[in-house]
Amino acid sequence: MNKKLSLMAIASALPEKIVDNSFFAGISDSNSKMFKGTKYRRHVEQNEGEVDLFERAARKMAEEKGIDLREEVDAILTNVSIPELPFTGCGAILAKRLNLKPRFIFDVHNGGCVSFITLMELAQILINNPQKNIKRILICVGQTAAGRIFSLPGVNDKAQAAIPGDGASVALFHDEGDNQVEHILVKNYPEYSTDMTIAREDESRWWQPSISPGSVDFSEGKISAVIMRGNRIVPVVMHEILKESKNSAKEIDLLITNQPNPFFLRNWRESIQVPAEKHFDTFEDYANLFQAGIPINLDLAIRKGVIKDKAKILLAGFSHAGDYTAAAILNFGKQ
Amino acid sequence: MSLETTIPERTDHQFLSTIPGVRRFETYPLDNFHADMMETTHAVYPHNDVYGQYCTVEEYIDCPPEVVFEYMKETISLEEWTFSVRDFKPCHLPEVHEGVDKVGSGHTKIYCKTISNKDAMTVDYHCAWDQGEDLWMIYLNRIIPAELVLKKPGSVVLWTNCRHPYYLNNPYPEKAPANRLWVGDLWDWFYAGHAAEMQNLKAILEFRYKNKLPMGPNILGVRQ
Repeated sequence: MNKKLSLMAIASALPEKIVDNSFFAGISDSNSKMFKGTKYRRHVEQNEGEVDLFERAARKMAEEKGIDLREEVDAILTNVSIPELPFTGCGAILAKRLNLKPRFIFDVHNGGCVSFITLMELAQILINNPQKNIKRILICVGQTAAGRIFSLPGVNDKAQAAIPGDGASVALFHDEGDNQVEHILVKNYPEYSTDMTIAREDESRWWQPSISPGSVDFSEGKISAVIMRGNRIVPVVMHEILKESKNSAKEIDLLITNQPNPFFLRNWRESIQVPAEKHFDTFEDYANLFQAGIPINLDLAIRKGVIKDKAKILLAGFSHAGDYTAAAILNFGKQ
Repeated sequence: MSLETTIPERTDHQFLSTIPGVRRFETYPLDNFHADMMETTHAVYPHNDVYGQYCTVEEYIDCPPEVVFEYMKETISLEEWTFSVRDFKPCHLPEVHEGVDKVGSGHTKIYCKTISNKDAMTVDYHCAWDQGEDLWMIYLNRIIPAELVLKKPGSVVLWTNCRHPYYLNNPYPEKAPANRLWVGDLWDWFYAGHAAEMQNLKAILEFRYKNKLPMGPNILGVRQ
């Protein structure tokens, strides 16, 4: 592939509603290894959706950068944890709200916490298809599970309920220019694809009528398996991308990962010997942002000046119970 | 009549809980224990955290434990499976062999007294460079039937060294050849070196056992 993806602009939107730890009954007696360390998170309201967040972020981005999205966007790629509507996707609704006329819209269901990177890989393939002439791609990644599910009575007293936080990012990529994506590596582990399931006390399926609230089925055994898996597979994908791209960990100016809990953050940066000050996260403020974690952290790191004029940024993480890992190297600044 | 009997309370949980550093189910909350485990579990560990004070290597050997024991308990076997210890012969000290460690500039004498226990299947090499009176450099080995721990024939060998303070400073510098490195300065290489020697041990024993050869030590002109 000849053309490399470049980041043209990025912006995020967080729900207004700030929720602190006192909201969660299960947090004080949590005996969970996985679900610790939060302070605050944002929750979408029940009438607030991912498209609202995408629209806010996109308008902000367009205004800041003076971009006419109607002219600029050839394709929209989205990934959302708990979509507002089944059957249809949110990409077309966003296009309607913003009056965009993209030639391609793909609402991609999988990828979880690394979907920002998996969609970057897809975008990289699209810009290199000479027949399609796709130049600019809007990637929209949103997480709405916190307000939609984990704030509900019957769920919000579980240890896991305190962990998710909501938010969304949009990023406009194009096929030329600065902020070039040097390398992308996505790996999949189908053997872990069935380890994250939704459980209801009455054992009904999630689409069946029920008064029993649903939550993620995290038994003690599953938690241990996922912790050890995350400790293993994320270091692997980081080491492999560094090797493939002939970079060394010492050259990484900033590490950005998804942020399931403080232990994973510590262990992942330790595994490539990146010091804490070079690993940017927002876990205390926004908790586990799922797929929105990587782009929101990237956006905030740029806005807060953590990323200087020129920086080599490593993005990495894993999804769900370990079914995907992904990493990307972004050379921020002038090439 | 019930077969169950009440076991009298024989453990003083409260007393044990007053000993600093003791964490037990009865008196230490499981939540805290889980938190401690998360704190201790990392994705990777610095070399020094793992091998800084103790260095253990372990290996499976496809050879019966009795045969591994008989081979290892002979001091002169070390001439075969170690990287650089050679030329053992009896010396003025009872049960102690004097040999040469070739990594010590070629002039380094090494002394070794092997203490084995057939019941426990342990073979410990009590060694030192330069002198044989104070054998402080101890290589602890335990041979375990693999049938017990891995449910297959063969042996598992565990080999541990502890970082004796003499590794930091040579206690008998006057006995060392001039300009010779000190064995303790190699401590950080012990894992790599011992792992390689363990591979030697495995390869030699497995090759002889598989090919029905005499198990050795198979050294030409064995010295008395």
